[in-house]
Amino acid sequence: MSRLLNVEVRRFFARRITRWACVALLVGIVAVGIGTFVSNDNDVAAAHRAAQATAENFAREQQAAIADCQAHQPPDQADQCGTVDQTPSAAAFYRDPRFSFHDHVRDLIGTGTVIGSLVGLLLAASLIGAEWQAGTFAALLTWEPRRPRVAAAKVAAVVLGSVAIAVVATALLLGVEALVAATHGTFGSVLQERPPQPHFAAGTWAMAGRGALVVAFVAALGAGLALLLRHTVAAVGVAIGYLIVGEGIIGSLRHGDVRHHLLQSRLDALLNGRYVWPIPIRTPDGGVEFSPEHVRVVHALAAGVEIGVVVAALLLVATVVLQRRDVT
Amino acid sequence: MTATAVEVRALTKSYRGRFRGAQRKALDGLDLNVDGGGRVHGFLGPNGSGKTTTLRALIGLVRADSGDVRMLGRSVPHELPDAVAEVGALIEAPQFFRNFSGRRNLRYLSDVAGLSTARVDEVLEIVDLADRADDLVKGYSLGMRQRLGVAAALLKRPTLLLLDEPSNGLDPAGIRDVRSLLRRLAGEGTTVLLSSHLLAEVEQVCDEVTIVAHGRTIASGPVRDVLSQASSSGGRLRVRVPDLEAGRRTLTTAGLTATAEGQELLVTGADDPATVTRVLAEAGIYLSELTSDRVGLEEAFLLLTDDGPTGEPA
Repeated sequence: MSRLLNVEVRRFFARRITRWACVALLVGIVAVGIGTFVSNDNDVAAAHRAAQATAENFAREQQAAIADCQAHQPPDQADQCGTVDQTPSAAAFYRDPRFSFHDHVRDLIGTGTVIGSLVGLLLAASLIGAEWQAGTFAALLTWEPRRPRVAAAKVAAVVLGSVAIAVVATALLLGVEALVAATHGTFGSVLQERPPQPHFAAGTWAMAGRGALVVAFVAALGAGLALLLRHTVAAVGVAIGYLIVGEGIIGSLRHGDVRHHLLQSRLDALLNGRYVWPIPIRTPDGGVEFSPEHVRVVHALAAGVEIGVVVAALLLVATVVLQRRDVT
Repeated sequence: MTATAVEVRALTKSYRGRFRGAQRKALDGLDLNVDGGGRVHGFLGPNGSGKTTTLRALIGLVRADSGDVRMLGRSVPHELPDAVAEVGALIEAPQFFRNFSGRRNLRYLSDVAGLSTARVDEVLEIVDLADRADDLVKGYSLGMRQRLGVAAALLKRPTLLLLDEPSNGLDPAGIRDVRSLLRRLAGEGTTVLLSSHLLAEVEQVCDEVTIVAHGRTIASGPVRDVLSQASSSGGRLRVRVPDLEAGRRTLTTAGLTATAEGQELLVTGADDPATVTRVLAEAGIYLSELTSDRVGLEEAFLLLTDDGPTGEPA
């Protein structure tokens, strides 16, 4: 089994599509880094001066508009043009020009997870689907006839490979953005109104770990579908079609009150720690309204267990079908 | 050493069609016995006769509906994992990862079986592919892929080699090389089950042959015995007599079939050449020459598989 796994992992990384995906991720990471670099800078004083100028300009334009209004109104209606009670402060127009690593780190992990999941789905489906199409799956079975072992090795290889790629890509993305923060930003928060977040670092590491789990689940899903359907495009099509079209349709039923049952919501909950969705409340006139007090919450642990059960069931069905299937 | 390398008894297999209910019978009680200990056993049959399905069932790619299969003394498919380490197989067209080199493809396979990389170089030398081993497989000709397939089948130093049309796509020199390789392997103790449609190849290379048609075994045994079996059931005699027409009438009256061809009569239906001489002599006709038309494997194959020139079952 370990020999088989070793071969499959090596093959996973030797494939052209894997290498092209890694190159594409690398180019994307560099592009994001350059974009962040050029759209941020460290000149806080200039940003304050610009905010002050904008505030003064805004006040002048407001005064001019009121004066213009009063000039065109009858004297007894001049009070309808309003007055300037309070000149907006420069702080209201201030936008911190620095890139904040602290404020973006979780978004970056989320982005890395989503992209890593899509890449994992594609690579997993491709490794197995293309092998069925080329006939090399059958050739391998003449060397190792224990089909569940072959299936397990392939699924494990795509899961390990996809998670490795996603982790490295996310780490590189964070590294590039950290570099931007060091030169054109800050590692602290620039959001004054943001409430203090206890255990921020631990929470961020936990999110990164859950992100890796999401990638593993999605890659395993792609592998299971490819084992079952024996075709890359079919496996990716079914996965994407279900997640986007299928769950889009199902999610719109009953005013969205089924969304918390969907795989997307579960993946969202697993990545972000929890998923909150408002419960539709029927009004006496037959309408529907939502209230922040009435929500459904899916927690990460429950979501992880449920996705795990779905993926395990799919892999079990795929292995049983593979075991019974004639390979012609 | 295993006395019997392959034992197949009453094997049946039906494939379900695209639409449920439609079944196609690929194997209909097929029997196959391949002696071990360095023999080359030919496996002949027309297209769709069940040769490849039999090989697939042997190596566990398809599940038979009924029947017994044993390979190297082990029951298939239950004990196949124990047997497969000693079996090399090339079933239909060899399949490799097109974007990997020939050497890398073989290394993956050798790693699956825990073989040394030196063995990869050895088999590449054996099939004369060493100088192109680092080229991508997608750049290989059909013949080169076939040679790579043979190399993959040889990797494990198999006791039993299952080869399905190994000469496909090979040029004459390649075909000659494969034939001499098979004889050499047999000499070294490897048993080869060779499925082929090249009757001359089977006749030249094989010690025994099994002929199948419609999923059933038609004939089996040493090549010479199968040929004589075909000869006795449908062999022809060439008879030279002074008066062709008188000879033909006499033989036809005696229940034989005789047709004039040039200066000779072609006689079929005689169990024994002595019958012809006796019948003609009793009629006062003395033959000047009697020869037996040698039945080649091709003709025997056609006679035995109902596809003879006349279309008559043999």
